[in-house]
Amino acid sequence: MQINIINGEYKVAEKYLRILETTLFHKKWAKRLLEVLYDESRIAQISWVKEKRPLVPSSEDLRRPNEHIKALNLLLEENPKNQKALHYKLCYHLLSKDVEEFAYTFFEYRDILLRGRIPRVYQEALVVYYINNPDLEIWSEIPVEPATISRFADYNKQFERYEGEGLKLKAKFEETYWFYYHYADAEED
Amino acid sequence: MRRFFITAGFILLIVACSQKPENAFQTSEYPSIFPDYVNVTIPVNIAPLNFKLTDHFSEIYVEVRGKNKVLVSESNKYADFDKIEWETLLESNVGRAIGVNVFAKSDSGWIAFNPFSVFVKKEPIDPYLVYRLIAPGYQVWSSMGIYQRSLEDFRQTEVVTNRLFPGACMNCHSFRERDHEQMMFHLRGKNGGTFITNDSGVIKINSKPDQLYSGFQYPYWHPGGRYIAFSINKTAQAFHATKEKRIEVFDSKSDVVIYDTRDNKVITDKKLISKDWFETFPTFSPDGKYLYFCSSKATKMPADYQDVKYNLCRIEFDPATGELGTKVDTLVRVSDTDQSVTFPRISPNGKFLMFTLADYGNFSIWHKEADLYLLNLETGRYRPLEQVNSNDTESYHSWSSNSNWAVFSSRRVNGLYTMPYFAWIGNDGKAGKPFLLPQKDPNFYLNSFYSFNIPEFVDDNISLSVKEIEEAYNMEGIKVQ
Repeated sequence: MQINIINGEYKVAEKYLRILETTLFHKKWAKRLLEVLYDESRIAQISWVKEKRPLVPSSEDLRRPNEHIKALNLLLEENPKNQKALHYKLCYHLLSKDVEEFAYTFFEYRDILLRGRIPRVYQEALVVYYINNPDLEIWSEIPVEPATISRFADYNKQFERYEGEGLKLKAKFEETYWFYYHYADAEED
Repeated sequence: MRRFFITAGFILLIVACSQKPENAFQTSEYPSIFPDYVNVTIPVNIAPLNFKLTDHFSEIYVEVRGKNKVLVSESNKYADFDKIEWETLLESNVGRAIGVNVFAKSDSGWIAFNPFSVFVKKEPIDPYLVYRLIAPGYQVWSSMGIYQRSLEDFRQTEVVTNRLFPGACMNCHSFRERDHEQMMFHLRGKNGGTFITNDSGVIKINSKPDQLYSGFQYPYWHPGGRYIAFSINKTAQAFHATKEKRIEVFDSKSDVVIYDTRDNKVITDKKLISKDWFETFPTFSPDGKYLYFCSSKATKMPADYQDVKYNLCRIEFDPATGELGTKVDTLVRVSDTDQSVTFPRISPNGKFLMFTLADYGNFSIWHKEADLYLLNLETGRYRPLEQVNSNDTESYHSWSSNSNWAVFSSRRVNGLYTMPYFAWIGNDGKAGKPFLLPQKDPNFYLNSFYSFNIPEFVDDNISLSVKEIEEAYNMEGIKVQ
């Protein structure tokens, strides 16, 4: 219903609102929206409409149902500040164990991503990429925390010690990206 | 004693419901009603046109005036007519208009709306409509099924649903000339196949011959019953980035073949299988001597999806030999329309061909601009059915057995949920204002989460044996040669 309001499909939204209007918990909310539905100026003032409408792509393209990265790129190309799309894209690469694509995306959007602390899991993935690509100039701009680096060294030490036996690493490293990278089964589309 | 008062109160209520308001304020406006039955044309045997007012009123009073008879709504919340009384009213008013007077009680008193007419045609509509009910989703589905609805009353019953085959998708139900005993449909997924019903029961065929790149898709029965023409399509779906359109369904390959049910073999012909052309939507003429189909120049898909535009073509067909003619005629050309023809359907009297015209492609249900057109097969001229079309999608359609009624899918109510409308088509090709399939409760469509797909008339109640379908489902399909 909200997506239809954001997209201006008021007739479809009205269908769902009329049904919600008869429910116990959404009655008031539905009635309030029905009062302003079709009044463009009042709809445009609703906070979630204001927030989402600028994020809807304006240039046309087609994407297949399994083209998730294309979908996220369409959102990001027009709105590079679309944080949700950006993090979905980064996490999609992480889940796919595509550390290289993750690192490229991270570097491309570093201006936005470096405004706060780099999420722990991103730091862990960046360390993996660094191991194979230590000479990139861009590393000087990426503040991976010393604690992450030292934990990675610890992980590697234990990995060798237990000869890659995951169960032995689980208790200490289960929450890390490295453990996911080595032991999780990523599902195909 | 208490029982007496309750009964007495109930009788008073009934009486109160039936009293015509006096001194109502007369307005020149028609009432705003759902479904919109203002000035529609209906067949004599249609179920009561129950409706509601779209604005809120505490009470309404509705009467229908015909020759020698006035029928009053049984409810004061919405117009709800007694079926027997309704039938009698229509039967005594064939060829005439009945008048509908609507009164509504507002805070300031009763309002009398401008009476509207309903035009009653003596030519009946076929007694049953078959459709698939499915939520208008994109990639996943839950419950879906093929249902039949009596058009003379409000009874809807299941034909086959996926409750029996969890997770299965069923589509493309089709009948030989509206015969309820000769039906086919596809069931996709594990144990799927094409199911055909005939005198000997239900058979399942494995409709993906090794040499074809896809199984059978869009069907059309030859009137003789021996052949079914199918398209074979490599179909995909894609989402639009912008909000104006939702999805695009397109073929990157498609051809037409003819399945011979008697000899269990597929007839192919180079004129219908070509890598340079996309052929689809086969339709036999009612005399069985022509096969009509849509054909577009093949393009790179999905990159050039907007360049796919279908011509309407036909080729001779010999039912005795199963052979096609040598020459393909083009009846509606893309060079003239710059648009795309889908769903050619010929009236049983052979006079008209109804088709859908959209800006491009073949999945017109997702095209808001898609409209219905009528081609006069005697003159070769075609025109939009302006009386029938709306600002939203009109797409799939089929003809009644007497060639006077067409049922078509439309998204005019809310832009998303497909609903079945019926339109009168006169012998001169002129159409009446269409009406939505009536329901007992006019709130039915507003509360429903299902779209009506592929509305097809049939001549009687289908009584498919669930056991037989299940047995066929669990058997290995007959391999097509």
